[in-house]
Amino acid sequence: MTDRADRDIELIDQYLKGDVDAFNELVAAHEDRVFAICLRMLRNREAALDATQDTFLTVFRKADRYKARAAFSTWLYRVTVNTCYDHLRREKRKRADQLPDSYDPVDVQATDPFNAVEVRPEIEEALAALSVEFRSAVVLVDLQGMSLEQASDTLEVPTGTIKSRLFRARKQLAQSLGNLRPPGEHQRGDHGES
Amino acid sequence: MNDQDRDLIAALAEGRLGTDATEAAIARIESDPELSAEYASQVAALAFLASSAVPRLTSTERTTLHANLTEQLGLVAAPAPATVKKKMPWWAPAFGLATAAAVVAAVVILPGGLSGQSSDMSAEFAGEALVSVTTAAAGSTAEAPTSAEENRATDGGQADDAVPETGGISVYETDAVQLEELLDEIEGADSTDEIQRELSGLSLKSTIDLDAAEINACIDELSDQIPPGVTVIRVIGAFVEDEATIIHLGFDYGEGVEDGLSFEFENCSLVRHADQG
Repeated sequence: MTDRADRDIELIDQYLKGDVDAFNELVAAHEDRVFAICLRMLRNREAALDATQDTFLTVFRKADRYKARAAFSTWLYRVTVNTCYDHLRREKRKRADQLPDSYDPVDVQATDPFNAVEVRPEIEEALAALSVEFRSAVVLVDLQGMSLEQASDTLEVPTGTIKSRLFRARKQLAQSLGNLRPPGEHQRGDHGES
Repeated sequence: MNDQDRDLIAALAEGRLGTDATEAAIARIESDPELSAEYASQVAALAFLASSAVPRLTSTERTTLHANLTEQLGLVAAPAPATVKKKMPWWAPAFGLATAAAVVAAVVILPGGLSGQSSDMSAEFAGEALVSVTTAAAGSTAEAPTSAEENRATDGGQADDAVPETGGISVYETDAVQLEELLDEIEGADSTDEIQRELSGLSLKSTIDLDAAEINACIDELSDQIPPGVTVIRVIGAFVEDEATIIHLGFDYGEGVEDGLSFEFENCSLVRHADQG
C-alpha cells in the first residue's frame, strides 16, 4: 500500500478508538477529491457540498465496517458515488428537468478566489448528456485519474464494463462537443486522424 | 469493430502503449476508416476532458463543510465495536414483535436456469440459476433446494411454502433505512428464520404486500447486477419514498447474507449496490 493508504488505515483505527481528530485528518486529506467527484456528478456546487458532507457522515457512521480489504479511498469513493446516485435519484423525482442548465456561479464570498472553479461549461454540458453510468466512469477515470481497476472496484462492475462505458462515453462526448464547439474552432487532439 | 479493436484504440488514445505497440496500433487503425474515426473521437474527448480544471472547494465551502461535520461529530456517538450488537436508532419503535414475526420472502437461485422466467433471462444466467419465490411463515425455514429438480418440486409439491409467481408476498417495511444498515443487522444470516430472528430484534413498522411475479421480473432485469457465486437472494425489506417502492435484496453466497442491492419496484431500476468495503 502507499503511504497515503497506510496512513488512512492508521487514522481509521485511531478514530475507532475514539480519536475524532483522526477523522478530521481523513476529511482534510480527501475532501477536495470527494467534492470534485460530487460536483462533476451533480453539476451543482450546493448539491455537491451536501453530497460531500453526506459522504463523510456515512463513512463516519460506518467506519467500524471498514475492514481494510480494500484501500480506504476505494471505499470512500464508492460511498461518494453511491451518495451522488442517491442525490440524482431524489432530484429526478423532484423535477422533470433533472439537472440544472449550468453550474451555480462560484461563491462570490469565497475568500480565496484562486480556489474558485472555472469549469468549461461546454464540457459540463456534454457530461450532463451522458447517462449516470457513463458519467461516473468518465468522472472517475478520465477526470479523477483513477485506474480502470480502481474504477472497477469503486463502481463494483467488471473492468471490461468500465472500458466499454468509457469508450462509448468518450464517443458520445466527442459528438456532443463537436456539436457545441463554435464553427471553425480546431478540434484539439485530433492528431490521430489519418 | 470488436472488443480488441476497442481496447487497442483506447490504449493508444490514452498513451498506454509502448513504441512498438504504438506503431502497430497506428498501422492497424489507419488501415480501417471506421477505426480511424473511433480513434479520433476518443482523442478529441480525452483532450477536452484534460482541459477541464479540477474542481476544488472554495474557502467558504470548506469552512461550511468542516463546521457541519464538526457539529455532526458532536451529535453522533462513536461507532460501537463490531462485536457489539447495534441498537436501533434508525427505526421508529412504532410496532412490536408481532409484526416482526410476519412473513419474510426469499427468492431462491439455484443452478439449472430460471424457472418460469423468459428464455432470454435463462440465457442471461447462462444456465446457472433457477429462481423461484418462496415465503416462510413465522417459525418455518425456507432452505434452498439443492437442485433444479428439487426446486421445481418445492414449487409444485409444497404449496404451503411456495408463492405463486402471480401471487402476493409480504415484505418488511423498513422506512427509508439504508441497505447497508439493514445488511449490517442480518450479516451472516443463512436462513429465513435467522433473518427473521435478527429483524425481530428491531421494531418494524409494518409489511408491504407485493406481487411475487413482479419482483421476479425485476430480478430478471437486474440479473447483470447479481454477483457470481450467489446461491440465494432474499427479499429483506422494502420502503416507500416519494411514491416509489424501494426493495432491498440480500445476497447469500452459501455462508449467509453478505451484501445485496436495492431497486425501485415500479420500474426495476437499480438504486444502489451495498458497499462492500
